[in-house]
Amino acid sequence: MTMLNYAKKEIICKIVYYGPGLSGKTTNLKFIYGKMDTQYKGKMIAIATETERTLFFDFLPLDFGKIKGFTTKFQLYTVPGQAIYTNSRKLILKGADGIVFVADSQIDRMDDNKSSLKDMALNLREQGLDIRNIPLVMQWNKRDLPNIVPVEKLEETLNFRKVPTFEGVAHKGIGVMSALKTVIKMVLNKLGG
Amino acid sequence: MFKGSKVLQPEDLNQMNNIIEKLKTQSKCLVVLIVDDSGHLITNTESDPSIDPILLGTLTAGNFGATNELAKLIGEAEFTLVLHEGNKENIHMLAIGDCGILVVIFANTTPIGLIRMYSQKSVTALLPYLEKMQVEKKASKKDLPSDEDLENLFNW
Amino acid sequence: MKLSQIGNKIDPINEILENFLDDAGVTCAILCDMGGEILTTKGDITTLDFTNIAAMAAGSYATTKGIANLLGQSEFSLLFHQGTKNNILISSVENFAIFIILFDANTILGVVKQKSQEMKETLKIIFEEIVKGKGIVIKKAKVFEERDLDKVKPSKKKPKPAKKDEAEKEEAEEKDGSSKKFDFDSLMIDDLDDIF
Ligand SMILES: Nc1nc2c(ncn2[C@@H]2O[C@H](COP(=O)(O)OP(=O)(O)OP(=O)(O)O)[C@@H](O)[C@H]2O)c(=O)[nH]1
Ligand SMILES: [Mg+2]
Repeated sequence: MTMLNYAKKEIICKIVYYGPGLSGKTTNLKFIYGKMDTQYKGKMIAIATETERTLFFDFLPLDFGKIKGFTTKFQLYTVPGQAIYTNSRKLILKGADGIVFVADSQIDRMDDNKSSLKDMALNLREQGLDIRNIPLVMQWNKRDLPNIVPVEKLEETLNFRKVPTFEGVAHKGIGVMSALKTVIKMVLNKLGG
Repeated sequence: MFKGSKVLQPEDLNQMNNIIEKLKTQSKCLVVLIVDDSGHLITNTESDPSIDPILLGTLTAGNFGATNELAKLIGEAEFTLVLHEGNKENIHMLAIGDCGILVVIFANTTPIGLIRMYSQKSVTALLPYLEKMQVEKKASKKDLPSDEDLENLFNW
Repeated sequence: MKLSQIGNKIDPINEILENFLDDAGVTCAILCDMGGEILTTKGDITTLDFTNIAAMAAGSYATTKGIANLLGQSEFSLLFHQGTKNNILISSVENFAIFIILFDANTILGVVKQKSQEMKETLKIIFEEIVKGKGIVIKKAKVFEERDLDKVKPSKKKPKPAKKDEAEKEEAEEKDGSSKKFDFDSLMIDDLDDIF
């Protein structure tokens, strides 16, 4: 949940990257970390296994500096996609202000995308959040691979709310910054609304 | 304006700072942090500048969350004592109602009894301020989607 | 250490755990890899959701390791949580595995601590044998990996995009505002004007 700190003149929001295992959530955060100017980013933490799978979460704090006297900060998290970490996913979603759902475009990952989306709906509900109105964008990742589902099909199957979507090739940064920027705008608009 | 956000007023932050500074002096601990339930750092006592309090806040919040889940998994409502023993420093964590966490880092040589007693007192003193920040209650159950709503939503 | 790497060494490991249960008088012990995947369990776990317990214990262990890093100490060797009836103790065998011990109020913490220290030493020897015998390289489970991020940093020289549409996409990205200097100020001021 957004924290508005009048003492430090600071706004802090939380954005969570959600999606099935290996869909590219951590890759998104790493790219953002690499892309951002030093003045805008803090240290990134990745709590990962020896095989680089996320074990608990990744964390990247962004600080956009003072705007109209208020320091605006966004803290980015990823959840671990693997099945055994269901409790961890629930924990990380707590107090989320906005979500980037990273889907894997590969044909044989469609079922995983669906169950991850459903899992997210249930976990959000458990945290008192509603998948029908939380700021949300979707990224169709891995568009560079051969056996992928057409975008129309992904839209039809997964984009139940007609939220903004982005075709992604996360390790090249395609669709990464635009997805982040859009979800940030949505969060700020909701706060202002 | 700022729908659904938590609001922290300067005077409340001052009060909370006073409470944790006092805790630090009385219990002779090294660092105290207050982290909210979303993992955002609310405030911390002055400490070694090489320690990044935001990272420390995030890691302790994650750790506390995991610990609480563990408690539930073994059939405890919560752990009455959470203690991490290191080779130089120990960490003690306490829930502040369901609004946040108090994190106390102390040297191995400091008696745990002292830390526990003063931490507990501080939690009681801090609770009203954290509750006050929680301006908007979580969505009530009836506003959240039912199982049926979700089924209809995805329509698979 | 993955289960697949342990092979027939699982028998001596099980024996060590069994002896430990007897000596320390604890309810059960779970051994899992650093990621929380179960290696073996001993004792009464019928009523326990031990898969989730191990996954959460691994998360808890990894975050304390991160905290230790931050504070400049090697690690928190022992995590102890006390409940009203059940207690839990989490520790690791170097970077090989994590063990989780559950016990109730009738068991003496000091004894559990001491016996688990002994168990740790014996398990360590076995794990080291496995590594030596099979030439397995154990990588540390990572918490801070900023240096690895260099790998994904966009290179100074832009590689030639393979396909035309990819080039267009990248161009679109740049117009989008993600060029070298990502100008969030101009992006946000418009939005923030409305807010403030
Ligand atoms: N071809 C291709 N590979 C990608 C893309 N995005 C990520 N990857 C690769 O996919 C693998 C998994 O990416 P991660 O970012 O670690 O996936 P994750 O979603 O964080 O996975 P978990 O942590 O297990 O939930 C890595 O090897 C990435 O380099 C993409 O757009 N195209
Ligand atoms: Mg990941």
